[in-house]
Order: sequence, then structure tokens, then C-alpha cells
Amino acid sequence: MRSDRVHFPVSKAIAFSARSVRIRLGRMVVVVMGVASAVAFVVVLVALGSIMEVVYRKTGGGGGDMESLRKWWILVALLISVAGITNAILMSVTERIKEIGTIRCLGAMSRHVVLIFLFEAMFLGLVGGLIGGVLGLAGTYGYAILNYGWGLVHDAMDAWTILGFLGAAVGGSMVLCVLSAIYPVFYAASLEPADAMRYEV
Amino acid sequence: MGGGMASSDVRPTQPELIEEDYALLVEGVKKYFYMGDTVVKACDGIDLAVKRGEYVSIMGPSGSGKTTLFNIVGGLEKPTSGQVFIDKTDISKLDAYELAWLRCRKIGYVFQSFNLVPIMTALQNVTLPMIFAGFNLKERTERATHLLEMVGLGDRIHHKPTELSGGQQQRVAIARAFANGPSIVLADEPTGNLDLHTGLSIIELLIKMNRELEITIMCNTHDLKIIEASDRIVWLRDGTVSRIERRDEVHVAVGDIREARGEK
Repeated sequence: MRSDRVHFPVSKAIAFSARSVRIRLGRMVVVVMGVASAVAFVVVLVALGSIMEVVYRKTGGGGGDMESLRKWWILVALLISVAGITNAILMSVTERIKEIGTIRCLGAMSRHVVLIFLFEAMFLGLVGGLIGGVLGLAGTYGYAILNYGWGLVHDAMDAWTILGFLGAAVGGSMVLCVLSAIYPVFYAASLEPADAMRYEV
Repeated sequence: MGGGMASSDVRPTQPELIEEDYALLVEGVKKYFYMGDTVVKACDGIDLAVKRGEYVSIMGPSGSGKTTLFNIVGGLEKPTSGQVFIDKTDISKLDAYELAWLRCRKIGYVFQSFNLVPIMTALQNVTLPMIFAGFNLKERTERATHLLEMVGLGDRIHHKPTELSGGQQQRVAIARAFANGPSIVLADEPTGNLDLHTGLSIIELLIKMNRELEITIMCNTHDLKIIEASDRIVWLRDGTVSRIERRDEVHVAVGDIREARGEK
């Protein structure tokens, strides 16, 4: 070991990261949830894929409950979205708790702060929902047209169906954003201004 | 020392005291922080009276309770016990709505770390408290422009904090503190994040605002040059007022500073 170099043993790095996870437990749970549901989604797809393959072969295409499978996919996809959105909103509020303290000093009441941040969450949900909805539809169209041809896709997707998908995407996204903003926003707004200003993430 | 003379100012409960003359009265304020088994007595019975239009400096080593006193006086934190009167109003008796109004109209804050809203221009930062005070757009823009000119930033009103130096950011913060014509401006270590030269210009600016707008200022800084400019200097030690000095006692103070700094 040379004495003219800084050193930081791996064991210390492990100890540091373990402590960080322990102390920021709430945030870490959200992050872990996001990772876990994403992994779960991939695992479900891969595992079910191989099972379905066997089922298909053995039963000659008869088995396979596609409907319940689809529900599972949607549920897991939703979980991923919830974790991702909660994480993003939580971050955007907590990193600005100091700013919240400052505007409280200038005369803002708790409910003004809540209003500002809930509206912000709504905007994020609106824009995110629109972009996500359009991207998702575009991807679906691309895939479906390439595989099934324009005619079938055109029959399946009339204007109302498309609007319905977009509406559900935007609505769902806004609701999720506002729901995940409620806890951090009310927490931040309920702090005494002095506590908010010395808040560290 | 002049301690006997100053003590009449320390005790605001004396009958001859005329409340109207005071922008700020602090009576027996205590703030204890409980950390496990230990109790940290940040403020341990502080009495203080600040006259209208006065420029008072709070001095004391770090950990003497300065910032806690500022937070309590500014209604940013509740004391464990004791009372604070701003403009004759007992701030512990205010509900959330009245407290917000007090912070908005009666108190101006200047912080060590500037605390400007990063996404807003200098002008928007200064108009922000005026929005809460209910001024219309025209009034807000006029007042804020005038204030920014007063602090020497007339040519930078559309700059964002990141486009301004530390000293300039603090000038914006000072303009913001005076936005609604408060009864008192509380400056908690306004020069703490600035170099000596810039810090002095900030102190000079605070004094100029105090004289021209006749608004009371309570400021805390390590800068000893401030002594010449202050109407009074309040020394804190271990959460209590250890001494109060007037401007005309300054020559005495200089010796005391060395003593306080352990040079004597």
C-alpha cells in the first residue's frame, strides 16, 4: 500500500451505500419498486412466452388464456408507470423544499404552495400523457401495419378508439401525477419555513 | 461597558415604555432543541427592543443563537416560550393566514444564501412578494424597478440569478426584502457567502436603505466594520444577550471586540 495515494476500500464503499439506502429509505423504496416492477414485467414476458410456446405445441393452439395474460401485462405496466411517476414527482418536489421555504417567507401560505405544485404535477401529467399516448399509438401503428397490413389496422382503430386511448392516457397520467404529488407536497407545505429552508435531500 | 445605560432598552416590560416607538419587541424568548438526551438551548431568555427606523446589529460567535433568534423574530419558527411583538402584534397569537400576511407585509428577509427563486428574473423575484400583497401588475413593475434601481441593478432587471454574481444576487434579495415596505428587515448573515469587499458594499447598501426608506433593520454579520454604522449592537452569547451598545459607545466597543475575540 502506497502512502502517497488516497485510498477508499471497497468495504467502505459498500458501507456508505448501505447507509445511504437505510437513511433515504422512503425514496429508496420508490426506486426499488420501479426497478422491481420493470424487472417483473420483463420476467413475465419472457417466462410466459416460453410457457405459451409449450402450451401451443402440446395443445395445438387450443390453450392459452390470452385475455387474462393481457390483464397481467397491463397491470405490471401500470405498476411500472406508477413507480416511475411517483419517483419523478417526489424528486421534483423534494429538491425544491428550500424554495418552498423561501416563498413561504415572502407571504405564501401552505395552501398556495400546495396549489402551485399540484398544478405543476397536472401539467407534467398532461404533457407526459399526451407524448406517451402519441408515442404508444405511433409504435402500435408501426408494428401493426408492418405485421397485419393497413386494412386490418384501419378497421380496428377508428377515430373514436384513438381518441379514447389518448384520453385515457392523458387522464390516467394526470391522475397518477397528482396522486403521487399529494404526499410530498403536503409534507413540504406543512414544514415551518425555517425547517423547509434548512431541508437537505 | 455602558451596561447600565443599555439595560433600560433590554427590558421592554418597563411601564414607561411606549410601544408605538418600537418596531420589534422580544420578551423572554427561549428556544430549546431536544436531541436525544441533550437539550440545546439556542435561545435562553432573550429580551430585546428595537425602535422604529433603527439599524441594529446582532453580534456573537457561531452557535450563540443568532439565526434561531432571527427565525423566531421572523415568524419562521415557534419559540419554546416567550413573546415576539412586531408592530405591537404578538406573533404567537396569529393564525396561519395572519402569519402569512405578517411575513408578507411586515417583515423583509435577507438570507446568507440569497434564496432567490432560480427560474425567475431579478424583476420577477422582487415582484413575487408584491403578488402575495395584492399589488397589480403596473404597481408591481414600477415599485420593483424602482427598488432594483435603488440597489444599483437598474440595468439587470431581466437577468436570472445564475446570470448574476453573488453580490448582485444579494442586492436582488435586498430589493425583494423591501418590496412591500415592511416594518422591519431581518438580515441573517447577509455577507456570509460574499468576499470582504462585496460584503462591505452589501452592508453599505443596507444602511443606505435604512436611512432613505426609514425602515428598521436587524442585521447579523461577523463584519466588525458594521459597528460604525449601527445605531446599536446587541451581543449574544450562549443564547442570551450579553451586552447592548449604542453607537456613541463605539470607542468602548473596539476594545471589547478584541476582548471578545480573545485578543486581550
